[in-house]
Amino acid sequence: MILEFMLGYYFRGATPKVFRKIKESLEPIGWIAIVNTFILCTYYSVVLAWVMDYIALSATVAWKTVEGVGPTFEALLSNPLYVIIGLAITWLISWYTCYAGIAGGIERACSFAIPILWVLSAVLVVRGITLPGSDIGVNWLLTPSAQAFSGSAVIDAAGQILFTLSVFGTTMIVYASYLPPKSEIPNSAWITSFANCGFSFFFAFATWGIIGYLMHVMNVATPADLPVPLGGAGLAFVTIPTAVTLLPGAPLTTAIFGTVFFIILWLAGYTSLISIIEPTFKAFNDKFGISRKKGVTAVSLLAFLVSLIFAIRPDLIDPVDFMVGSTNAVWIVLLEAIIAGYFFSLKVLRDHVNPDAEWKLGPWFDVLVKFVIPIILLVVLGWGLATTVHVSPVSILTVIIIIIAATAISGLKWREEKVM
Amino acid sequence: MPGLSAEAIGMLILGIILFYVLGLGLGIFRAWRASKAKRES
Repeated sequence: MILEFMLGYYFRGATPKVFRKIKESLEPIGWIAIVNTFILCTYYSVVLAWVMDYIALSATVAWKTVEGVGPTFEALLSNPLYVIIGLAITWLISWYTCYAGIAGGIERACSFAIPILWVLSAVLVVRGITLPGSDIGVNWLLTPSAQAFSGSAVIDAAGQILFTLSVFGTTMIVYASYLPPKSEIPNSAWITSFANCGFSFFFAFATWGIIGYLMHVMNVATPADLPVPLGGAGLAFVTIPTAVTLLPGAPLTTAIFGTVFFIILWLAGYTSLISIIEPTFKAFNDKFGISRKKGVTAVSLLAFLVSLIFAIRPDLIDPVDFMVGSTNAVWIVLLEAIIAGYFFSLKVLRDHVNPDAEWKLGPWFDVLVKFVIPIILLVVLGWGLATTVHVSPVSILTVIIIIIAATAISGLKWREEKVM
Repeated sequence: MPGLSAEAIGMLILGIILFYVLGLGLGIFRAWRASKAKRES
């Protein structure tokens, strides 16, 4: 996180520009990061469309009974029309946020969405941990399990933490490039990271309190015994709706807490979606001088059209996400550390941020970037890929598309830089 | 939640110290100290 903040703050641009300024031949790697992020926003927006549909479905308790929860989700997946409507609304809001600019759009949206997110989450956490049986779920959350450790779990966790912190070589670089001179970089990165992880830790009590309640009502000993999924999309779209359907005071409480849950999910996803649209626009702005209004519109329109594929074929999301959201994110951060550590001077970056830093970065930072981070990421990647039983052809095709698109864009001529 | 195990309570305390005291708390304290120093200079 600190390194990405430093790169954006020092070079004042998106990843292709940053890498090109370090060494011209490294530009394609910057575009690989950008195309990867672009693909990420195409399928991520489809999940947000499901969430948007579920706000309406929860408010009306469309599944009516516990037995109706699973079929409701299956019906949504098999009926792209509703997903496309949710997708169009999600893209329209996200497009307008980025279109309105950094202060007038992105900053304003986050200043509005994040406090609401915390307040609604607090409501859900209080409800979650006061339900009968919630301690069973919270015990599961807080008790470490050696059995859960595996290569693919570690690569998933690495991808998840990089994704949740938006450290995948694009977003944080671009956001930091917008910071005014004399900004406090190391401490800002510190606060950003811990605010994010602090929120995740906090909200986990809502989710696991509710799962504990479900275990209590269904009289099962372990979460694995529950007849509902505990990971991925199933957790949000099947397990939580099942649990809120069984709440005391249902169906009114089902409608209230179900809607609150999906509003929280949508707000969290929306602030992430705008943060992954912005770097793609900024990269094209750097290279071709395209204006914000035209650039954001073109990127959003293209992303919306590509996202229709995932709306119609939701089964493609998992294999694409395995590459884009997990594996590639780790690769890109690994390359970023190597490029910054071995092709550029980390001392120059430190000397640039330290005069205004409350918390100064010493030579220990260079050791982390040059040795510790690459070794950890290589171990994670090697272990993860070695223990992954089967890599889908869709995952491989995704990588091929990313490399071809990145190489093609890198080959295009740079225009004179425009100041935004 | 009276049913929390000792191990879970330990992890809860560890999480609070890590995320909110040493993490977010320390970061906000540093930011406050920096802005105070700027105001006074």
